[in-house]
Amino acid sequence: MPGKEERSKFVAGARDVLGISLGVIPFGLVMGQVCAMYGYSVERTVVSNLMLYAGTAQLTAIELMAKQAAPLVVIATGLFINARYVLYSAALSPSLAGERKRTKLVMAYLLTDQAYAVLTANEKNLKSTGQLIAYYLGASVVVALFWHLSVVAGYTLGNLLSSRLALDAAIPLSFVALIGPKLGEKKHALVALVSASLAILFNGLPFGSGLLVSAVLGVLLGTFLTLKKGASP
Amino acid sequence: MSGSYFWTNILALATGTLIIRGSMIFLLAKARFSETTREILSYVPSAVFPAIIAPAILLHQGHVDWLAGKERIPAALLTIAVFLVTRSPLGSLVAGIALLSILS
Repeated sequence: MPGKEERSKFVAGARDVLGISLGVIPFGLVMGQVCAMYGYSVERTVVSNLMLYAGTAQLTAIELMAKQAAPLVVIATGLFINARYVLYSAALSPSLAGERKRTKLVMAYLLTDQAYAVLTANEKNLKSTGQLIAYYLGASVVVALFWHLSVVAGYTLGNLLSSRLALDAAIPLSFVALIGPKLGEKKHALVALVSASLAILFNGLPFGSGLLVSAVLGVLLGTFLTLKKGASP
Repeated sequence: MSGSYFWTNILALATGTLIIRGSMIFLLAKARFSETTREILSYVPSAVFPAIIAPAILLHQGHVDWLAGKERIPAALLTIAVFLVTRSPLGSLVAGIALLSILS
């Protein structure tokens, strides 16, 4: 039975994620439009989004399937794009170590860039695992609602939507606002700078693998910086 | 596009993605995390988000065309500036999108 603290953390998570969740709306609208364009039924659009719940991978898969790509290519590319979740999963694991399998499964399904980002930015205010889970669930429910509703809206509105607003940049810009506070620490700023530079350098890598390669190298640099100074204070 | 082709792909992707998302949450469950491990993992957001942001802002439609993508740089700077002043993710996002919409 969730206590008063848990309930207030659920609300806090939902509130804190609102800003970055707005970033998923244009992306969801695009997803809905693309699905309508390829003649998907609304059921196919909604059910596949509920199953996969990973926009970038799904959009890529839709484009590949439209070209009748081999299933192996479609699946491998999508999973490659989603490989970054291994890093989030690892980052969440210490907090969830003692939890039930059912809880872990729900937390895993709901893992998104947005929920993870807002959790990691506010983790210091969460005093217990119960509060952390409540906060994460509050944030995740908002992200999921924004995503699925914007997909349906995009599907319904189709080409009525104007592309005048530069909304395709909404997701990256929302992350700019999130990463801000971390960059006050010199070592994090260095990792961010190196990772950003590598991502530009590797932008041409096939199947969108540049992001993954850059992120892994960035974490390796972080590992090096951590180990170099020996035991942490 | 046949239904079975679509659903085979989506089912495999959905299952694989859930396994990826749950991987470390389940596998590392028994492990005790040292301070060093925690510190290393704290670098994950600092490594991932800039790698998403930088190409989207500095490159234009996936091409290394510095001139074409240039309007995104002031938009990103404005987003950071507004965030530092107001501490509001929403306010800074709105400011960034607004400037970008005017410039492009």
